[in-house]
Amino acid sequence: MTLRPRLRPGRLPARIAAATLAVLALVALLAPWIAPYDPARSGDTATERLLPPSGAHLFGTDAIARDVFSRLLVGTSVSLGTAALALTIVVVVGMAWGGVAGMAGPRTDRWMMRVVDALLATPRLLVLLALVAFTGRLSPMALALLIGLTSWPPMSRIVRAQVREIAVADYVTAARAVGVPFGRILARHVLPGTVPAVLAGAVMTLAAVVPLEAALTFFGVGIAPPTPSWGAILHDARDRTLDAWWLLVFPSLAIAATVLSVNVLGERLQHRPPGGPR
Amino acid sequence: MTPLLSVENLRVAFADRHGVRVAVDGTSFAVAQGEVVALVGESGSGKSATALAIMGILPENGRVGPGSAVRLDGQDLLAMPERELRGLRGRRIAMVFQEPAAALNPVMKVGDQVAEVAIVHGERDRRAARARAVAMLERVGLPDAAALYDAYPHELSGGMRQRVMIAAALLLEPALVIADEPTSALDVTVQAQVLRLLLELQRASGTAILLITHDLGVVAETCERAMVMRAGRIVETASVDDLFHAPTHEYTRELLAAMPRIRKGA
Repeated sequence: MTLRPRLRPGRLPARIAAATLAVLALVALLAPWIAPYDPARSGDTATERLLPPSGAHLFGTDAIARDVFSRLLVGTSVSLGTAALALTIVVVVGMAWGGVAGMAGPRTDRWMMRVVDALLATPRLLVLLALVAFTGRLSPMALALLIGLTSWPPMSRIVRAQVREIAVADYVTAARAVGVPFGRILARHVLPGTVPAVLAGAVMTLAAVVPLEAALTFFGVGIAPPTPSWGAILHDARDRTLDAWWLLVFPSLAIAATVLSVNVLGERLQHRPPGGPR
Repeated sequence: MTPLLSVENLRVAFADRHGVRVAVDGTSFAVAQGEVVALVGESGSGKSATALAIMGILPENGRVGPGSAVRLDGQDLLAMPERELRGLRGRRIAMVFQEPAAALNPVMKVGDQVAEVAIVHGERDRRAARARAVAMLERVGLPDAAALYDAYPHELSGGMRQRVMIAAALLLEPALVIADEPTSALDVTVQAQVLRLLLELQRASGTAILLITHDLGVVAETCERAMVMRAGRIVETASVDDLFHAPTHEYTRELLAAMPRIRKGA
């Protein structure tokens, strides 16, 4: 019998999660080619609006007679693309900020972390709402930028803590002892050691930014119509949750499946035994 | 003749929450070209702080006191800008650490860690750096060096890891190697092999070794001369023969008396 930490999901759930994410990623990449209809084009609003799922419209149609299946496919690409870009910004900025703070002297470290504290103390939703009030609704790219630039502080804290620990390791001293310059020590000896923690942090971030995009767009302050995204389809469903259930159920399922899969995989990664099978 | 290394009135202090602790308190000594010298003392006597100060790699809270000088080939390392100093580390002066398990980066191939020394000292050609590292891994007696290049530290035994450390330290044939307790973390049987290897390489390349140890047995086997350090000062310097047979300082006698011996009929 093997001992296994209690919270570590087994192989099967992890595989299902990985497969789910792979399918979603594939859909996101191929959406423009596999969508049966133009996601932005209305059909005949007299005869084709709010049709329930059928052979012609797998997931039905919405209030202005657009094909929900096509909107969901393209929306997957928009939602996941936005999340991926935001996540990239979080990882890059978080690693850079945290890495420099962790290696820097106590004074630089202190003011850099005060900046992080200040950002963490600011309610992010409020900032986003205020910003969107000025800019109006956004393109997916701009929303990703906004989410990314307001989400990196926790990541920088994780990285800084790891760097502090690694910076005093013997192998960093040993690298200095053979004349390795600062930048190379940071890039080759210190930051690689933070990768497992960054991965765990990235999972948490991803599980947060996917619903955040959906929520902002649902409330009408995210991605501007007619661009479809999971949140945008939910936005269209807000007044007809009972008579057009298909508008609500399918995007919700997509969001739930993504967040659940990401979390299952994240748990599995975090509890991977050191030096064990990957 | 100027000695290879001369340490003059070295003072090192560490600051922590409880105040300032003096680790090295006015130490002076010299190491000649190609010499093997021991720096002996109990833990906490300031041996390692001396080594780190010579290398210029004290931790953030460590400071070298005013009036100290560390001269390599007559140049004061303490007055040298960090950039220049970096050019010397690994090329003219190198260090072997006590814990090979901790002193090797766990997520970097061992061969890359050896090759890195060549790369940071100007080797542009990655393949040439790799070839040099493989040749050096062979020289330190590691079997199947070409395949071992791609191994990670956790795949190696303690003795093999220390051989990798030695390969990295001696790759560019520095004039001086500081070996800080190079065998203390190893099995007794492996200790002798690693010491023998260090001495072989020392003889072949004419490198001087400053061997830092608390183990008088190691001193007797390897060194010509020994310096005894206590509470941050050197209290006795003598040839190893004199040290063992006619110690002059009270503390040296105590150290010798504390050595475990195998007695007949016990």
